[in-house]
Amino acid sequence: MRKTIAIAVFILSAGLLLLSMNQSFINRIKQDRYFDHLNPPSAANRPLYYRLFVRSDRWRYGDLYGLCYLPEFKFKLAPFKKYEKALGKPLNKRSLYIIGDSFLADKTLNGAFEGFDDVIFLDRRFPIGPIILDTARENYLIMEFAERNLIGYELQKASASNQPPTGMPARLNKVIFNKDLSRNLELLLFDDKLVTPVKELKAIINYKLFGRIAKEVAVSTDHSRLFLNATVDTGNAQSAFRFKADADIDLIAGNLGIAANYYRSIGFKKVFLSVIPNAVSIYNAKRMPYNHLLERVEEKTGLPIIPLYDDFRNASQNVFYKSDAHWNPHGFELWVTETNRTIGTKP
Amino acid sequence: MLFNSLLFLVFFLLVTSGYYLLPKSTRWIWLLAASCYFYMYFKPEYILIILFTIVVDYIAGILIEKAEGRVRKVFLLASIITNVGVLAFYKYFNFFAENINHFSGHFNGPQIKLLNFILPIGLSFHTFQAMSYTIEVYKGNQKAERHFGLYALYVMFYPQMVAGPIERPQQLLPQLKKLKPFNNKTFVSGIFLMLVGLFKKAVVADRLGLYVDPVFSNPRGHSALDLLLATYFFAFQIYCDFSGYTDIAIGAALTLGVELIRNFNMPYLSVNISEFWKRWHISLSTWFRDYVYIPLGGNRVPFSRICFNVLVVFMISGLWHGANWKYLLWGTIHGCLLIILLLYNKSKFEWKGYPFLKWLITFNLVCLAWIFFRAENVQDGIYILKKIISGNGFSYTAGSVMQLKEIWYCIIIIFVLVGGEWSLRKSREFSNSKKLMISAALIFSCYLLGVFNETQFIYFQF
Repeated sequence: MRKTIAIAVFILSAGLLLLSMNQSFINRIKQDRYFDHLNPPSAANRPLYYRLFVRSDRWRYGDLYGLCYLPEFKFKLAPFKKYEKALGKPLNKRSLYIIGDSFLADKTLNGAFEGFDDVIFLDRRFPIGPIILDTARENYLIMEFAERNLIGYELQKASASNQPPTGMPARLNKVIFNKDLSRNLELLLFDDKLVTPVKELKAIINYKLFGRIAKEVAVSTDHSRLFLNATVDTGNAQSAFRFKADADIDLIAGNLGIAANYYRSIGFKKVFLSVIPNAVSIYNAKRMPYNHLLERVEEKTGLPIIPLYDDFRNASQNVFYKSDAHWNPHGFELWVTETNRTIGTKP
Repeated sequence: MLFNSLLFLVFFLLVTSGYYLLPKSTRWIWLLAASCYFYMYFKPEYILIILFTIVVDYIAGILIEKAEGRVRKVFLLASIITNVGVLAFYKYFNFFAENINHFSGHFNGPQIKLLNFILPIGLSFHTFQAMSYTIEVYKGNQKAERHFGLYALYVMFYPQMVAGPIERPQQLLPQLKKLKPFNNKTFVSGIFLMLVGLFKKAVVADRLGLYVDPVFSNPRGHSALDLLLATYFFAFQIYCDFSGYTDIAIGAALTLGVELIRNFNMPYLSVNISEFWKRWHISLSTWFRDYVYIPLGGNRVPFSRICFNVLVVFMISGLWHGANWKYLLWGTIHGCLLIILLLYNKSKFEWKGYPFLKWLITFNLVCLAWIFFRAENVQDGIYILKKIISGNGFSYTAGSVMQLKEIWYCIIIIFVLVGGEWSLRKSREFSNSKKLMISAALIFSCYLLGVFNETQFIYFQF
């Protein structure tokens, strides 16, 4: 009996360790969990892989809920409209490129803009590589940023330091002594629906007893929604409440100008700037003195702007999820409308 | 690898289950391989440093045993110089270079180039353990180990390799040579002790750290009360951090049937400084006593020399903790306190009774010294001490760091800790079912009340 238990423990722990060392498998799980809330709920006929590994509440109720697990901020996310390409639409030989971030990464935008028969999204968070444009077409670009991501922005350049290690020993080293093993194990063992109630209980104890919440998250002053703490904590450079001197704004505007010049030089006909406000800049701007980064950058840069800040501030409905750092379908619709209005039919 | 990480949990299960599944004769290989992985997880290439000292000390041990007369001393010195040399290079080179540069800078003199590397983890611990081996062989208390693998395992035994307890060869090597079979009671005791250690680390130390760390990193932004509270909290933070680590280490070794020495014995209940050092980090205190203080003359020299030796030992002990003036000052304070105690003991004045008052004085003196240990530098330490003594601004102003209700919770948890330690002091005699029941409660409280932010154990840096 004792030996059987030892064998079972050995196999289980060895299996777990090996799985956690397989970073590409872990990345696949992360990716599938991230997009799982977009899948239909009928899970009965799902493949074994999904039933074993894609059972997370981490993203289902908003990324901020998934960081803090406070049940009072557990809201189901409404689905986004998919703008599929309309069949039979006459081609106008215009392509729209968007270099953006997580706000647009999982959206279907092919049919969103009247004036374009092709929309290509490039995710700035990952290496993009050289952009090769079809010179037979008119190419336009939107540089889309979340307000906080303006800080420290520099045009992406291919860097040798980002290259994966080459050679067997270096690769083996990276697998065996992978510094993310504990995080990967956490993902495999505890990022599961079954554990959610226990995580919520811990979160309630910490929040109600000590006023503590996960360090990545902040609660609005009226306790109605969550914010990304990086946009609130003045100790963080991305905070909406951290003082920004005019020189800081000049630097950001300058870097945007350099990027726009580069993109025009490789063939884009026109480059637009679209900055999506921080949720805290819309709903809790009086929390501390707001640095008005978005408005100041938009004013300073000479780029054509897709204005969003006033629309968001004046919107009668919520434009951000209460438990997610991103906009909700209504905020997204406002952006599509505003983008269409600015560049849509006659760019 | 951190003891409070999920990786360690899986590593521990894998190593322990594999250990008992393997035939007895091959278990040491498994343990050695596991220890290598445990160490290499921090920085794989640093295994070469430890391997170098292992080879040197292994050969030195055999040569010392074989040699006669003064040659034995030469081999011992060669081993000690190698160990101290490695320690000095990695731990103290930059410290001395910085100070020389600072001095030289006043006269526009040349500057020594500082070295850019990360300090090998637990270097001071395994170096001291390795040195105790060659010294004991030299003294004739230990036979030189012929089995290279077993000697390497003695230095690298994963539970105690990076933060002690610093074992003696007479205690550990025979156990590694004759590994014990599985024993239900010992195994459960080991698991129980590991959970007690995890409770100390996650529930107490890391919770207190949420207050202590921000206050000590910005002392000028806090009131006297905030700083005083941070000082008392740090006393328990470091105790729970270090003794929690030790409990996990002793527990993990116990699950493999290996008994490590006790490192703590409720030190904050001491009624004088001497007693404190017999209860705090016992393996280090006895190391300095046996290998530095006694060779310097021990108690057999004139009183003034005893006092001088005590001061020297404590100053070295301070520097052992880190290459920084603040550690030297911390050691010096303890040395001075011990000298005052020696003077008191020598005088004819006798102060009988009042154990509570004696305890109160001792505890506060220890906390006073902790200020310098924890402060970012000596200047900050002096500032904190001055501010506390001045009593200027004796109101709580650290609400943004920790709300008052959490402060009260921390105070309660400290009392729970003291009461818990007292009631668990004879836990070895508990039945397995009692231990398992307490273990379940510990797991539950660790998860719900613990702070898990992958913070390193404080003593890892030494």
